[in-house]
Amino acid sequence: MNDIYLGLKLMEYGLLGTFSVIILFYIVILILMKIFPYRDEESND
Amino acid sequence: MEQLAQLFEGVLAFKWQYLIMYAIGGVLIYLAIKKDYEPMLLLPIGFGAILVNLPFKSIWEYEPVLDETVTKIVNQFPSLQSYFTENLHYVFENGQAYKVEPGLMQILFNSGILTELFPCLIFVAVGAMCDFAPLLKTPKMILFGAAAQFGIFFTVLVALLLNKIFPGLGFDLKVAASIGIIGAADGPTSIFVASKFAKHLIGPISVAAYSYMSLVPIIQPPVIKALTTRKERMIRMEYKDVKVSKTVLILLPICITVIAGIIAPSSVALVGLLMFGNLIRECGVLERLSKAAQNELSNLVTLLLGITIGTTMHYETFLSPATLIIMLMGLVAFIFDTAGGILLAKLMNLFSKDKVNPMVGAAGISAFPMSARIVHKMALKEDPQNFILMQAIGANVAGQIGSIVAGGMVLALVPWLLSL
Repeated sequence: MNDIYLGLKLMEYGLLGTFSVIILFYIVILILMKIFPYRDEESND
Repeated sequence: MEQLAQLFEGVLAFKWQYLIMYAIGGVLIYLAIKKDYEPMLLLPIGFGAILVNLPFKSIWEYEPVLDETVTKIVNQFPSLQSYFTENLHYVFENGQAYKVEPGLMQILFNSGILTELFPCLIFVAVGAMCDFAPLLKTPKMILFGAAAQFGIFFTVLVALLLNKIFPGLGFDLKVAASIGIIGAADGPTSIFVASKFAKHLIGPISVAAYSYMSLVPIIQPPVIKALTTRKERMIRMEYKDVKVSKTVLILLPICITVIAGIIAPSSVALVGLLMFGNLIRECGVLERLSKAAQNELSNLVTLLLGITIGTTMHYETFLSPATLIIMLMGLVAFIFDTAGGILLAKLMNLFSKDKVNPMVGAAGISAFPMSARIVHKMALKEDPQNFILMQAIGANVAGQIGSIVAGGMVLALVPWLLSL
């Protein structure tokens, strides 16, 4: 297969994959922050 | 006369190319000492470059010794020659087999770089130094960690285009991917990927990665200025000092490892060890280990990594047009990383009520904390009351995650694309 075509495919899937994983991390952060909010007593630990 | 020649064999074996390599090593040492550009890496790399370019390269390998037994075996079974060459440090000349024992630095290279041990250990140290709290306080910033990896993939494409124009460069997809990964702005990730795909180019790729990381204060401001208006650079961002619970700080590295491991299994060594280092830091009961990872482990591995990388810079492999192009490609990667982050911020501003200062997008590269500092300074220059340091640090931390995710993607996608 043409190298340039492979390079384009790498860019397409690579960026898509990176964004997908990062968006998943973003969702995980939002969920974690929601489920485990900071409580004042933590400062006393 | 022969004995006299033996006495001065080092002088007789001296080559003019060594002088060029001494100059290159000297420049790296100069930049490390005088300009304080990544001294922990550039100084050992510079000295390693000098070490390996001494006559007979004895720090890398010992002189070949004739092995008559192997010569006989290979003469009887010629198909075994490649096995001896590839696995047992033999070279063949005029039908004779010579054993070339690896020297000190080659042993370190084989056991520390080719096995990916050194870059992975560095990740434990980086993880232990990483504070994800600024990112957790401004989670949206994580997106810039992905956008600022654009330079990696763009550079791969440019390298492949150059190879089309100059086929002699030998930039196939694997080599192009190793060059592109300089744009991760993350030395260990660059070394990790290059050790998988382009072992012969680890030297120039590492030098480019670390040099440009130290040159971020020079590379980023003109790109930021070219892509943003003054009005955009003056955008103020609201910062809520949300407190982060310890449970979140502990669960985050575990969750990230599991997600990355499921989606991109080839990134586990990178993401997993970075997150392990971070877990040691955040758990609160392993302070000694955390400090050891941040100091002793980091210092020792950095020292060995730097000098080992430096000794891959033998003139035979380093002095080539490919090296020059790799250095230029590294610059392209950093420029387009910066552009990727800025352009995403501008795109977000089209749809979002809470405007993002586009300069924060530029901090989405992995060069921590330089990039965040530059963005903060530039914002203060435009408006002395505009404080975007915390958001920039959030994006910068995201860049550290984004770069290893992108590295994992490259590791997974390149073999898959080549198998199609």
